Amino acid sequence: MWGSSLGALLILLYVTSPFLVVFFLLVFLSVRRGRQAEKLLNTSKKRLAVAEVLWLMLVASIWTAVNVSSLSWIPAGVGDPALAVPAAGEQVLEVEAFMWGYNLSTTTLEAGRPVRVVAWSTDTLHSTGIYSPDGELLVTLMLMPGMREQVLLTLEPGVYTLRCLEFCGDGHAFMSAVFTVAGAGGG
Amino acid sequence: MAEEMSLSSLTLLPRLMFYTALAWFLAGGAAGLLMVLFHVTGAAAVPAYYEALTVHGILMTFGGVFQLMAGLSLIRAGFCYGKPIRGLLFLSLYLLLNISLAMLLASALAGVRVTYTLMFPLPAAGAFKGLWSIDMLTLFVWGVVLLLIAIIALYPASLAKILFFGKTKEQLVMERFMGTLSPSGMASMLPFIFVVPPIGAPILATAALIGAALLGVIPLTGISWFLEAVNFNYLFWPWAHNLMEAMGIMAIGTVYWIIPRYTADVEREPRLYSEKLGIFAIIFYTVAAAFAFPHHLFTMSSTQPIGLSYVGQLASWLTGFGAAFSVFNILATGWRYGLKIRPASLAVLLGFSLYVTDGFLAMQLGTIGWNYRLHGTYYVTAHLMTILIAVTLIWIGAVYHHFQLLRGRGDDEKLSYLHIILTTVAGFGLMYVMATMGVGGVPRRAYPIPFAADIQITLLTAFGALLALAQAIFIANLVRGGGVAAR
Repeated sequence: MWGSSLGALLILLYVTSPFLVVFFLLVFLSVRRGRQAEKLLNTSKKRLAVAEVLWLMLVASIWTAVNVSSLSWIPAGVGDPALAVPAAGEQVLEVEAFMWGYNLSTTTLEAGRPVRVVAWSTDTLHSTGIYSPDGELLVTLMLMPGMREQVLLTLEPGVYTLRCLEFCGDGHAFMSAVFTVAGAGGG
Repeated sequence: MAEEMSLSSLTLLPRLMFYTALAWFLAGGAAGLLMVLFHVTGAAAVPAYYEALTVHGILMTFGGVFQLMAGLSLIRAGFCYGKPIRGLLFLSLYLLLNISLAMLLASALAGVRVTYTLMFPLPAAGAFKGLWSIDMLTLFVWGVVLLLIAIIALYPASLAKILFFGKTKEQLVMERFMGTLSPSGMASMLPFIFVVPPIGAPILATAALIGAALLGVIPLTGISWFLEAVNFNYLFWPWAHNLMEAMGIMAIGTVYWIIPRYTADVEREPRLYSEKLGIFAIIFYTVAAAFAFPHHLFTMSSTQPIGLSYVGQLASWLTGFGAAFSVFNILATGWRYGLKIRPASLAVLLGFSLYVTDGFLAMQLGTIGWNYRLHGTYYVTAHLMTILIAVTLIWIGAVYHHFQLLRGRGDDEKLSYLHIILTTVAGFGLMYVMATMGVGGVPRRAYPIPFAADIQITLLTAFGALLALAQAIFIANLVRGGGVAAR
């Protein structure tokens, strides 16, 4: 959940909303304190030092929690050394990107078998974002000319869309393709 | 000689940079508004949209934001160290920067398509496919070379000249600081002097070689290694990333500089809660940022070392930790010495709040797991737009601080507050709307937008219009002003 794109937005809101409330509250109080000279004179250095330590501990805790958790958010089949070895029963979808379209080796795949997506670009920087049938962006591969990117996916039945997500000229928005993952029995 | 030391002549070049930045902001902003209009009406031909996009990216980033920063930082350094800002070096910086922008603008209007991050090898690929001419590509590449010379060599040299060379002229010390690099506002200039030039030199040499090959001075085959996309981008990304970080650090330095000057405790010399913490934060941030660039390459996992990705993630989050030191330092300064709200301090505080908020969003994009699901979407646009608005708002705080100097009279404070608040509301609004679009997978830089909710487009338009309105108020304030400033 937290590793999804929606999770990113929720964590953004959960972290930044209280931060902004506290930030502006402290600014407001600092302006008020500025009008009361005796309060400034009585500011405790020790308390500020304690607050400094507590603040840094809070940041370090969030920092550590998100980073450790994020290791499990990396999509399966990405950056995995096992990727070099063909998976049992895998099928291959070759994606050739060019200005401005994709050539696919096939447009129909079977559900229940791993799909190795192998993608490359023939001219400039492109990418291929793979969108699920309900429109969720599952994974993005940046395609630099001369490089072949791979990812191993397990896909549910439905119609998947590929879209370029790196600006590649006037046809960028039109650079898309679809492929179908058919369920058992071709359904 | 003494008569020549008039304030106006000594600040002529920075003021020229400020006004030229405004002109580029206006041109780039108009292109941005056109893009929004095209999205709403769907009326534009695709090439017109991408021409506006290319012009917007080049002019706002380098003509506007960079030039504004450069002009204001030279004034600050000059006044802190009591050194005049005049001479061939400063003049060359101004001229080369703007000549290069004119060349890039001309090539963009003639059809060359790029973004502010170049997207190499797009400029070459487009020319070889006949989408734009080789002549325009040559003009573009030499525009890039001149721009790089201005950013990598002349600007750092200008700062270094003020900070490290020449004698202080006491009558020019407008804002005296203690020590050599204290307060940390001065330390924020060091990354531009010591980090940007060495990291940028290889990409400058590469661009010059490509330019020479296009002119036929050297054979293209002789530079084939540099034309390999992966080689070029491994030279480009560390530079581009650290340039943006250096600009961000300069903005943090501006916060460190401005806020102590608007504390309520007028009995004391302006100071931060902790100078040491400030300098430590800047060093920490600079070192972490130097290693964060691999986050731009996360989504090439099967061809790039995964270890590099982990370094990129770790370093990206460490830059955020550096920002945490600054957050505490600024808030503790306000708490300890009290704050006075004036246009300068308000702009800096609001810009800083936007900067830090965006910083968390940037750290999310610097996280491998999230990056795979957000890279290339409006989530990245949310980060880019917000960071540029945030640092600009912080520097606008410096403009309000120096309003009297820049305009010869004070500002209209009501207009100033209105400008600052509307800019902040628009900045936060754009960030959250774009982040929402990014979560929906909406591709950035796509026209027409393949899919997006109507409410998102409507809100994007509304906040874009609000941002434009705020800047129109700023221009009116600059033109009309409000008499003698009260500080």
